[in-house]
Amino acid sequence: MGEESIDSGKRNFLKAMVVISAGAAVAGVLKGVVQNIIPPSSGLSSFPELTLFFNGNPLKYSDIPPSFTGGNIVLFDYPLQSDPNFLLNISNDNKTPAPVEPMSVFIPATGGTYESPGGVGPDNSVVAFSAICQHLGCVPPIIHYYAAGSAAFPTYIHCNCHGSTYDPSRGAKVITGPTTHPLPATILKYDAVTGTFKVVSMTGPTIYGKISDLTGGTPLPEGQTYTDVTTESIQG
Amino acid sequence: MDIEKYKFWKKRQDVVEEVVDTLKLNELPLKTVPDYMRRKRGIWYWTGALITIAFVYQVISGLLLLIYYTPSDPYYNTVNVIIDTVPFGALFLASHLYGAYAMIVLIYIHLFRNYFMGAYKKPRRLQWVTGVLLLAITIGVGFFGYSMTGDVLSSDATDVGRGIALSTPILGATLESLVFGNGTSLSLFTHMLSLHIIFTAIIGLLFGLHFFLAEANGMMPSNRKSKYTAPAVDKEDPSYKPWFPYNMAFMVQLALYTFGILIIIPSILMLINGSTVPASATNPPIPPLFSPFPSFAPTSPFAGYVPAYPPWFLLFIYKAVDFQIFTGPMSPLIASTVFGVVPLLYFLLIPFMDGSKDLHPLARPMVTAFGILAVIYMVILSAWGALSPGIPIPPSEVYAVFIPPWVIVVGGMYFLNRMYKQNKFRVTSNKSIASFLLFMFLLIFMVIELAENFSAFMNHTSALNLVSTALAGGATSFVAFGTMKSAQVAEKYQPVKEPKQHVISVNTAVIISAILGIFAVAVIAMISTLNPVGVISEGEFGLGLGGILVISGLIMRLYRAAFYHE
Repeated sequence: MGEESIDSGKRNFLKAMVVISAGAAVAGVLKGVVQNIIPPSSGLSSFPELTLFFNGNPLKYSDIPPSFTGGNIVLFDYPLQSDPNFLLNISNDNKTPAPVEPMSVFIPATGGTYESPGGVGPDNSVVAFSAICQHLGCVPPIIHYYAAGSAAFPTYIHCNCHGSTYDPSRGAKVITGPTTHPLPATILKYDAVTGTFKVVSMTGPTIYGKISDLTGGTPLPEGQTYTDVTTESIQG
Repeated sequence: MDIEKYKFWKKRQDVVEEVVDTLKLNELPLKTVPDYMRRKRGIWYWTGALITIAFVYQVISGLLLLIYYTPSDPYYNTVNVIIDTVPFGALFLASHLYGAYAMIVLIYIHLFRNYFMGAYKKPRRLQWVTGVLLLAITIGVGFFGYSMTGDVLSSDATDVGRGIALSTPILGATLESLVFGNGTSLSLFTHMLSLHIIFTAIIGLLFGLHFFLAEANGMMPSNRKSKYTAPAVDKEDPSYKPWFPYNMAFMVQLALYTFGILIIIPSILMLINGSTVPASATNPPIPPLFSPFPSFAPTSPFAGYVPAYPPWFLLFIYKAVDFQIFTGPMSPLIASTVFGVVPLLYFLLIPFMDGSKDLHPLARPMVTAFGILAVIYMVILSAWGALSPGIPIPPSEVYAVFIPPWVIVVGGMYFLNRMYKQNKFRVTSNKSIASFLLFMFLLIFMVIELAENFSAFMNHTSALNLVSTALAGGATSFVAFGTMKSAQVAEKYQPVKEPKQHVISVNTAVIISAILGIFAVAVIAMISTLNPVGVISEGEFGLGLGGILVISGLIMRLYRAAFYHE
């Protein structure tokens, strides 16, 4: 290597220029690759307003007497596909609808509260909650609704995975752990003139396993203005 | 200014030495090469390296695309997700496509260069065979990749592939389901994806063998050393500079250039295209064969405007299927055998068929003639397929197009071979340069003439057009050969100039590199604020990034020129 004699300062300068420009290129490539491998989020920018449909028609109040929502697991997807929500007609005896008042719901994990919307419909008794357990994300039928047998056996939602229970007549607040969050409340709107139900938004904790209620899933087909109410048998 | 006295530089140099020691860069068992291979026209000795660099780019960009590929709905996912919403997805997709094109073009250049030089002869016979297999597999991988997008072109390509597979006797149905799945769309695209990756892995393994053999056999020595006689084996010379740092610096420079160009070309095409799908179906800004993005969906009303093209690198077989010299239910298979499998077998077996020791192209007249004919036929068939896709060609036209080049090239080679044997190729350098320029001029003229006649012939077939096209084609191929030959002669007889010791003065190199370095930093600062989503902004990003890569290569070049005198 006879080049030592050549001015090593200039040599180093050129080397530095190679490193700087190649470094700039590597920075550009890295920026591209890193941004590329983070997948773009999939979802919606705002809550859609969807009409509840049942067997191909708008859902009527008469379709969901307390005995029906208590005897089956009644679900609809909102706000994205694969985001199941319970649809419940609350009753203290599985026959007569019982109104649900709006109320503040306590979040054990944070010590804070939020306002739960209360029941809608002719008897102010229809409520909806996310059907994904806030403890570790179990879904129906493992988590399901128990209709009230009598005043001694009130309504509750129980998750068979680890035994978390929620009170749907009080904003799905936590009755027993291990969960530390109530079930997120799905906000319904009842149109007294047409007798139909709409689902408009969500409140409370974020749906389990998501960064935001509106992302992390596939939206319903574009332009669809309804969401289907489906049923599963409790034994199922 | 004696910077070495400063502790900082001293420490830095220790680190560099340690890195070199740790990576054993001084002891890599790689062959060293003479200086002329790294000089001005040295790029012709490194076509294999260029393919390897393009292959590396393909693997990296392909793995990134793999993260997002969805066989259940590939068209929507490619166009509306990868191109429209994934950050830099459009850039990776377009450059992956053009990286594949580059690889295929470079493989052809590599192949024909070694073919005419007689590099397939002993001791490189296995090396040659693995190389031809690599070409076939690369084209296959290209076909599978092209079929993955689910656009109208990909469904046409898979339909044609299915037809050819099905017309195979006895094994047809098995072969078709083996390659294209059970008929459902999901099975088709899952197969295309897996075969695309499986065969890429096979390329990697086979390339390992090819590269090992290349290193073991060493490079072809210059004609002056080998005297045009096989076995042409180069002995490493003490005058060869060590691999590190001389060859490594050269490789880094080549890689930077190649990556830069592989990103710049599709970026420009993206900017021309301007949007995800062509702005106009009837008059697209870029012809569908070279579009950087998938075409329309097969169900789109615009799909009818797109001719049922295969990928451009398969156009020659595609056109052959239209020839009415092949009839009957097996005609697609026969046509693709005659124009695909037979040439492939010819190239695979040439080292065993041509056992002579002659390396000079003129000493092997038939081998050279077949090579020239292979190039001519492939170009004619591809252009024909692109200009008149799917139009049946009666036998008389097929013969009219194929026979004249055959007669001229084979006859011409026979004549040149006789001249060569009589030692008539003693041309002084001035004369040979003049003849080269003359041939060049004639070649350009004939190519234009051929194109004109050809398109007239395509529009309305008449005997006159036919004859003039054939004549122009024949003359063009002859002139092309003359150009090549005179170039070779001119090269051979040029007085060898002693390379200048200082290719560039150190001070000039410092100033130019400083300007380039500042420019690179300014460009990266500018492009880093661009929106990572969107065809235009990604095209601009690619242009800038490719530019920086080329600039880095240029500074590397300056460094080699100033301090290695190369």
